[in-house]
Amino acid sequence: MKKRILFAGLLALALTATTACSNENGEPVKMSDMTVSCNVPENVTDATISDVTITLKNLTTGETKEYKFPTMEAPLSIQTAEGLYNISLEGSIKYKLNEKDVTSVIRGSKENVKLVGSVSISLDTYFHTVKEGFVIAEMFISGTRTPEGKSYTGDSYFRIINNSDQTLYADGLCIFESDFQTDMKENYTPDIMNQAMTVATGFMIPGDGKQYPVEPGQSLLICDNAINHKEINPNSFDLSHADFEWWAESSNPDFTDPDNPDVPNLVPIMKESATLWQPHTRGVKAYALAYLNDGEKTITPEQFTTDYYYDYTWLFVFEDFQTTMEGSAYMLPNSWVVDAVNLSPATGPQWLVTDPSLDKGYASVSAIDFDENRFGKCIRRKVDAATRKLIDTNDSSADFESMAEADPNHVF
Amino acid sequence: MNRPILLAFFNTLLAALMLMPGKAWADSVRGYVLDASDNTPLPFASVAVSLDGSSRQGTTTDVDGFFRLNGIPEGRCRLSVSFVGYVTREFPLELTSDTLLLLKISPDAVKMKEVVVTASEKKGMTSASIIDSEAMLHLQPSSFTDLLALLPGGSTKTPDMSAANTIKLREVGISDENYNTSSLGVKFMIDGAALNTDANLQYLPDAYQGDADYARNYTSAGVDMRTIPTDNIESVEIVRGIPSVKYGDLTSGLVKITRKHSKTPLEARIKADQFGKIIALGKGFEWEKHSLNLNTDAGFSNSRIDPRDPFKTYSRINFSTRLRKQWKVERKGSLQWNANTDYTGSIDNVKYDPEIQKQKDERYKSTYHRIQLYNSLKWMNNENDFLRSVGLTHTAGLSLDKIMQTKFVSLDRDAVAPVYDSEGEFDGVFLPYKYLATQTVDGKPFYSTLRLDAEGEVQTGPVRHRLSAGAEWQYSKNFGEGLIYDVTRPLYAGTAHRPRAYRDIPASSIVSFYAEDLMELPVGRHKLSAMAGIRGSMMTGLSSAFAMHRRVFADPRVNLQWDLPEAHGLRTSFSGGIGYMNKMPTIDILYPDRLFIDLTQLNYWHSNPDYKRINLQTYVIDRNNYEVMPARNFKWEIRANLDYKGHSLSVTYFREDMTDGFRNTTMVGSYAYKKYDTSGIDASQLTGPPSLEGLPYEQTEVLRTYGMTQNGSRIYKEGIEFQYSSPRIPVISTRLTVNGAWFYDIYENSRPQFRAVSAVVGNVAVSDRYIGLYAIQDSYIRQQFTSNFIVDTYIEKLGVNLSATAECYIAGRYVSPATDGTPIAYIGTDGILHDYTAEDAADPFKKHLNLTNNRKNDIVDKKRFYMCTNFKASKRFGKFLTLAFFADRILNYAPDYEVNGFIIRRSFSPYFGMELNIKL
Repeated sequence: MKKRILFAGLLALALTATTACSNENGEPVKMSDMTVSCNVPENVTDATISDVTITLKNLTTGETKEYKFPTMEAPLSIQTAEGLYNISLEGSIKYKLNEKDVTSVIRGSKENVKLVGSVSISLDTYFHTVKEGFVIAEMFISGTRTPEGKSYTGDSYFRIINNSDQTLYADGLCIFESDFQTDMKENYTPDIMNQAMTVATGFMIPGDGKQYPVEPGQSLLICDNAINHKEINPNSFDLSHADFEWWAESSNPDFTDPDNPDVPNLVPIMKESATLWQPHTRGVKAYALAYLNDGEKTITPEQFTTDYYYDYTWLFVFEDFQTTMEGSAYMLPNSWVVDAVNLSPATGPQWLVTDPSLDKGYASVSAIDFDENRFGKCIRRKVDAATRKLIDTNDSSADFESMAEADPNHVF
Repeated sequence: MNRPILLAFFNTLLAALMLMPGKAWADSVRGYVLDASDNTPLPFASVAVSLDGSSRQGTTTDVDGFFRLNGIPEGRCRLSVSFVGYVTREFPLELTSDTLLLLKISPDAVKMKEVVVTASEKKGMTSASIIDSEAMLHLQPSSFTDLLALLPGGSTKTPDMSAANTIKLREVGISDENYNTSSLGVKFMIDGAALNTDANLQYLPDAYQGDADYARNYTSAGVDMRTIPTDNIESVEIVRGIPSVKYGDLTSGLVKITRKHSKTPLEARIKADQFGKIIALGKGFEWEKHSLNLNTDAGFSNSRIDPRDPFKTYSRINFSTRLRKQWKVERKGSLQWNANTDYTGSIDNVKYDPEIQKQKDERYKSTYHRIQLYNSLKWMNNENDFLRSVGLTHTAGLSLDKIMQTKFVSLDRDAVAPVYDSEGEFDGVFLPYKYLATQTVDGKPFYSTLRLDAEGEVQTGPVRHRLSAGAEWQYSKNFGEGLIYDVTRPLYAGTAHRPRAYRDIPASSIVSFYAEDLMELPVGRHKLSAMAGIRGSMMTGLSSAFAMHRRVFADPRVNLQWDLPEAHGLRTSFSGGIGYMNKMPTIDILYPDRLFIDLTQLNYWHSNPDYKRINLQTYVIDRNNYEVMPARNFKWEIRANLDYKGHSLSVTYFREDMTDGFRNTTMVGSYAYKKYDTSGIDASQLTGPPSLEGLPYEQTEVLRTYGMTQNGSRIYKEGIEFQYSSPRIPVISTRLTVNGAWFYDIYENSRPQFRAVSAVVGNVAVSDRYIGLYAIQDSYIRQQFTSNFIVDTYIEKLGVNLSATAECYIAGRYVSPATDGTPIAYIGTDGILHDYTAEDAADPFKKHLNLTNNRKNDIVDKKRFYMCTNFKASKRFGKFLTLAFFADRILNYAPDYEVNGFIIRRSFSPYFGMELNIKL
């Protein structure tokens, strides 16, 4: 559902352009009176926009001017010299997500706009996360097999690459695992998928904001146990050089989690399992990179676990019986998501557990469900031969190579 | 009937018994009814005396074929003796006051053709099914389990030898160990000796679903019916209703197996089906001169769990000899000595295909060798006084049981060897990441039962009383070496269990006594019968810490029957019963092993394995539930029996409610430990594992859970059972039998249960701090209505016996009721139970105590109609040979149907086999 909010009405502007301005030659400069309105991103309700900055770049003079407005409730009117402009808008948006207030950043722009006389401009806006550009490059979650044929876990990893052209800071970047499974369709209410992803487990990269810079094209290796797994299982990997590991503090010696003192730990946000977090080895969940809020005006993990927990119901249907089930999980606003991947066995996707705007396809770590061949297999993002950039069309079916041989040191 | 009324009734009854005159009526007729062909006594035969052509008084013979009629004037009379399958015969007699008669009747050649290939409903006061050797011959069973298909509500199942076969009586059933009391509460008696399993401790404590031992564990679940062969069985009586108080330590029912005790030719049976084969031999000898019988038999069976897999097998071997000797003392009575020796062995073997399995050492083997000696002496008094018989029985059984599992253990991460067996702070010893582990469970359960029974008879006015009383001492003890493993190489890393010797576990000793009065009162041509009794049981040798210490638990039970006079060939009777039944806890329930809870105080990882250190605080948990009580079932039923010219119909309505079945319940405790802070350690400066000295720590507490057996499961059973059989239609020599049952069962926890949630917020596991208490944790309501139609044809001339069975699953309804995830209370690290308030529901941690995945409304699983047909045929060849063939589920009607967009397809795999019976 698209809700349009028009802030500017018709401005009755008596155009007396010559009254105030003149150019260098003394000729009066013709001024344009512009009113700016914006369309909020799709699926947003009850939005209020604040801290608006409108940037006008005069394409003739190269001059850039910023106009700040505390709110967009009143019509925004700007008077500027007539000419050809690029117009961009950035603002903070507060909206309702399942009756909770969520804030995020929106941006919108229009290029080559001719401002002559009285002009009304309407900008389509989209959510913006500060460090857009991080993508999941490789994900390995299905575990390995030992030479004796026994299963081995603890060697899961995510490789995240800065796919942008500028240095980004990874501080505050989070990895989330969905609550729902792609192989179990749940008709759940409230259906907030077009606004939020329902997540159950999440970890965050620590840092003060400028601690972990990542150069363009460079990657981060985030893993379960940052140890040399080859010492235990020759079929696994050496992950002792990882950049981060997720670590669970537990008083239960059945769930010892090696904590490599040389590798910083992720900040735990929440988990659905009291023991160690092992991403679903059958590959039937979705994963997202996200920031809590917009990454700058960030909320803490404590605030997230307190305020973003919600109750839902879903219809459980199996053969001839059905019932409404009650569940609870966390909602991660889509506006905070940087990158998302749905996983499913190649033969059996039932539904996407993210909004199609985040990801409209599936990548697979296995051909069939409970595939014995999935061990040691990962998903790996394809590289655009021309640009040498990773392909990110928000369609994992097209963007990823499924069931690739896992290699944490793969050169993209 | 509520409890005070019942007790008042019994008080009156006992008072009446005490006040009764010891004198019997002087003029009586006594005697035995025997089979004319082999002189074996015929129990339950009808004997009626008529004077001047009109029937005056009647009775039935007891289990020894003995009868007594009182108040018969001396002189001429006629005695009419009748028995199912025998020609009714009249004996004109001249009676004197002291006559002991031997009345022989012959099998009815026509009626004997009426081979009964199904279970028949016993004509007694309580509902019971009788399955005789003919029915078994026709059924071609692999083990005792298969016989249950003949009960009302039963259906044929393909033998599953990969799991312990426990019994289900009168219920839809549920595979959840928390409802094992249902099978534990069925008592098996073989030739008067109980098959006690109270000292069974054969299980691997950490086995989980999918492990070989998981399905084969029947500790505290009663008898594994795979171990009971059927080849030497003469008849089986399955008491579904309220058994006599002679039988105690049961809740659900009674299975009485009577094996062959007569002269038989050498019989051999060879059976083969797609899973395995059975070979059995047996012969009965008789030395009539010495009143001596000897029966001996042996059997061997071997089955594959999956016909394609030769590596997973179940084998059984059994021997039995049964001796019966009788000494007759002229005019006084007779003394009978029975001595049985039995051996049953079984082996569960699970290996893996060496071409697939990389770890060739991995295997599982569970062996069971049981030797049982049974001796009974019974004096049957023929003299004309109160006492009828006195019996002394002793059973001693020893089983040598062993589970051996070898597994290649491969660890993902550091784990600690369970080397400490006391409380305290220890440095953990790391297990290697790969090792071969072997665990053995050595059990030597020993059982001894001593019984004394006495029966008497007395007449008070028109009421004839058969009185019985007795006492029993049941002793169970496990002398095994118990759970044995190398603690440095455990089968399950992280186990909370330690090796323990079973011989150190105290014995279980149950003393019980009973008194029962079987009353018969003729009212005109009607007959009223009542069987009322009370049984008291007590566990002796229990420590005073147990609430059961020196407590006597009473089982009052009453069955009543009203026989209407025969009218126009229609015989009608109504009966009903009500009673309590107690099952004492087993040794496993009374004396569970200690549990070890380890808390990690420090877990320091270093890339140099020599510098790693794990430090633990260990707690030892005594899991004894000193409050445990016997499981107690309350049961009542009403029944109607109709017989009309060979048509026979019986309908029973019953209700059973047991609210204190044994259940593994989660207990919660708060445990203190030190949480060391390792952030100050500089890994590069270490020259060894970090020292704890001077290392900062926080003294803190966490909650931990463990299991304890409590009386917390409810099993409610309600239903209607029916059985109809027609006479054999003469021309086509065919009979129709229809039986079936409607069952309605509830399985649920009868006490609130703790449940730890798995949510973690930040780095804090919610269950470390808070654990909720929930009113209902599981609840299952199951209903089903099934009916079997059996048509069988017996053509004697051809020696052919054919039957077709249509097993109809008419309808079923499985309901999982809506659940409420809100706790009624919660426990915190303070160890105190708190109310769960609205404020708690908003707390970032405690809100997770509201369980997720709650059902807002009931899940109703409606099961649709299907029908499977079974065919069985046997053909006699000459004098010695019978060939039999069966094909189960060969023609099925199970239409596909669509619900909620799913197409439901139901398929059944056929099961077939054949066997050869040789009689020489």
